[in-house]
Amino acid sequence: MIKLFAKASRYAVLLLMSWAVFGWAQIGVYTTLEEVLQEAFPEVEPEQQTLWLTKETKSQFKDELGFEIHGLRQRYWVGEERTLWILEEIGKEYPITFAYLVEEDQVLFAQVMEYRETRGGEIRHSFFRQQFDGIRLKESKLDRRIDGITGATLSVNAMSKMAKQALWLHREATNQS
Amino acid sequence: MLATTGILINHAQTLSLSETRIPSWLAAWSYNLKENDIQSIRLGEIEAETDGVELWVSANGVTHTSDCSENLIGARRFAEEIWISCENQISIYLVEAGTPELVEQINVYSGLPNPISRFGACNLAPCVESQSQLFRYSQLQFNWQIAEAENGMFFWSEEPQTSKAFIVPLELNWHRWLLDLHSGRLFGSIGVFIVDLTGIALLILVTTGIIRWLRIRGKTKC
Repeated sequence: MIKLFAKASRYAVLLLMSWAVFGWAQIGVYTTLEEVLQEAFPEVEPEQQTLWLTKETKSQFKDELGFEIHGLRQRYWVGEERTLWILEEIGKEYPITFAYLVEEDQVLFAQVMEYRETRGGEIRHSFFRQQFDGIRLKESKLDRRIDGITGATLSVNAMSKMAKQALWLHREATNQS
Repeated sequence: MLATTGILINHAQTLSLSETRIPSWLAAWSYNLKENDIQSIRLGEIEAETDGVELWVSANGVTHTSDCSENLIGARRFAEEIWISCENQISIYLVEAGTPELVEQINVYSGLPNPISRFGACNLAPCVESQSQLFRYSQLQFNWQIAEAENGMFFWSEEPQTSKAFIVPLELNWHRWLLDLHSGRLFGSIGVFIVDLTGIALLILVTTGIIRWLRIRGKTKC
């Protein structure tokens, strides 16, 4: 009985260690700013622009999307009719850096640039990210359901939330210009 | 103690106990916290402090909390904006009606060169030194451009001061403190021992009380 317990404990320790190593392995930079800019604007040199968020704009944002937008100014890149938004949102404890390319009020691609949490990094894979391709805002919600990933619920929520923010900001930036 | 803390915990929401951090001396004493290195810099009415993780920007008694990765490098005012540079990001603030308000945070994903070793102004524009190279911020193109040391006047920010202080984590509010006191998580192993003793004493009192009551009741019936 004691031998069986000792054996089970060894496996449990091994399992815990491998889980910890796997967790740390998810943390990292997956794409750089230069790579994203190249992918987003292969034929033009994009310009960096800023969008000022007045109290009225922030209030309208909160009324429509149901969460607050931080800061008074948001940077983005623009080239032809496309805008690229690099946004950060906390998954569970640490911010995740996302990039969204938007054209004609729909997301062309979504990328995870840097992941800092120990769990949930599966959202960086293309099988998950492709769900955002072509997604739009419809009545302040994404027009399509995003399938979750077990164990990555908070990261999935963060990515969906920032997709809504990017689409809203694109509309606002387009209207202002 | 158990009863009082229990009652207070039950009414934590009504008493808004989760909304106030406990004082730093109480946190240091009850959780045996160690002092952290704090870097600070003052710029007019603004004071910026960091422990290398959080950045606290205070003006007229109001504090805004954001983050600061690694060391505080410097701070400088550009027109109405106050730029506070940490090693890997810059936080830009406005002071409106005496209250610090975050304009934006810029980092490597906004094109900021990093790590930053010096921060200041060159020809009235924000300027950083990163990996022995100077970069000047273009207010028109919103990007950082390589600057030549001989082509301009540089005014580097004064270096931050370092001191020691207790940092009370955001989650250490009165509700959490009462929960920890109630369950013996404070004061290390002594806290557990005290709560154990209190619990045992309570059990003894209740048990002996019932025994005495039963005896007296038996005598009365006879």
